[in-house]
Amino acid sequence: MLMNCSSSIQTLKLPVLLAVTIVLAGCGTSRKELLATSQSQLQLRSIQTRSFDTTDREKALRTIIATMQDLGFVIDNANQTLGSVSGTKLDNFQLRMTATVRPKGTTQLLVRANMQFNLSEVDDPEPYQQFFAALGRAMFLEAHMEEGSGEGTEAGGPKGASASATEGVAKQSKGATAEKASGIVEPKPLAIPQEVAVSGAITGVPDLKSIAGTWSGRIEFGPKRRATTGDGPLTMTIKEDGTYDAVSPNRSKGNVQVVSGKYQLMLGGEIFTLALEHRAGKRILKGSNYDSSLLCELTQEKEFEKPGTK
Amino acid sequence: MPRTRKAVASLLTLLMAVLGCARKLPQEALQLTPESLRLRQLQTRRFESKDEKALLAAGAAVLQDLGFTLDQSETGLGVIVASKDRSAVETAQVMGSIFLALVAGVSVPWDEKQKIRSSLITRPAGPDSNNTFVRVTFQRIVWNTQGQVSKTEPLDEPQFYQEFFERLSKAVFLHAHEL
Repeated sequence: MLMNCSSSIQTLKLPVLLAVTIVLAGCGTSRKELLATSQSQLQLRSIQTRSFDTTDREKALRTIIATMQDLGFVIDNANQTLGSVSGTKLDNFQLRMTATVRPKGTTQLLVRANMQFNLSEVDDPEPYQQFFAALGRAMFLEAHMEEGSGEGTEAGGPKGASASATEGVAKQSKGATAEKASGIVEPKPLAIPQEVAVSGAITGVPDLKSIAGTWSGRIEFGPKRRATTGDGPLTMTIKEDGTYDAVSPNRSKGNVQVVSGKYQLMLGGEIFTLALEHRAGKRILKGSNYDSSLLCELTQEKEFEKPGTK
Repeated sequence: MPRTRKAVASLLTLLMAVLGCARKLPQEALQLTPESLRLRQLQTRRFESKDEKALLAAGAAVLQDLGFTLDQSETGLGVIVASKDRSAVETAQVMGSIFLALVAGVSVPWDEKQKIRSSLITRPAGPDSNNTFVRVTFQRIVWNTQGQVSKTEPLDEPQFYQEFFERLSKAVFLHAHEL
């Protein structure tokens, strides 16, 4: 690709043929196409979209720009009227991204991002998860910064954010109780990314009732560990309608979805697929995120109290 | 001589195979790392001013001084995008290419032109703050003599940023505080 092959093609017929064969066989691009078609539009949209509990459009756009800069993008284009930001990251590859912001109802904003890597669309969930995890953290920090703006302006802004972006890792793993004790404001619902609720997908599924209740356990690094953060205790309450509220120690809220007999939900910016097991008289929800880099195991503490039970 | 050719040929084959497979977005591409924080400090300065528009205008002027032309701007969000096209010919590379042509009989293209891109973003430090952050970032695309893209990379050398902010600081008569 980078080298000039055209002039040497005469002398290199065999090697070139070999290379093409290796490329075709080794990368399995045709296989990937198969996967791409199996991924529904709905799934892709939910991978590319998050809602945030804020209505401040300008701040959301500015936070998107700052997050993209943090991630190494040079901004190509921004439009306040349209609510769009585009940028390009060059790092021996070309990654182009557009994020748009639009209102969702009267209390939320919807952020949709789509990416293009070299010459193809990015439909892998991971880059989007990474982007929204960084954006969620930045939006969340912003909220904190505003609250703490009385105590000196110098500390607010990017410096505070920069400290928290990696050191926040340490802070997060101390657990929610430590956060409360140290006077750091408990994560409030404001601007925590939520998975977009896919309406209709959860109603009328009897299985959701069977996992209603309070669960506790841990998220741990799996065999394919890639993240530096993410492990720690987790407690979660699931209601009968499938809505959940988890603290890990970051707060995640949303709807549990049933996907081919398993439960899918979003914890700390990652989509987990969990299965219900019975072990030694205990009910256990066990599973991992999509590439098994994070594992989750939860034991049921108590079942959801409903009026009609016994 | 044919031996050398063979060696070059197999090297090319290997390179093509490797490049062919490197088409997937790296897993860590969008992960925040300590490196991203170092870059943020390198690329950002704090100015004791609330006047975002004045900082943007001064930033545009500095970019012009450096030979950039403005591509896009959105003052409401504190965004200026600029670029410049320049030659990318480096003597050493050309010499190497000529040497290879003489010895191995293969012609290897050298870098010919480049596009340097920049975005300059201003951002109020907070609603009640008198400070504004300015962050500038540079990257470039290089094309070789065959018209192919040979490099796509960020420009992270500290001296670029130091010089840029020195100029900006002089333009607005304000000190550029490091983070």
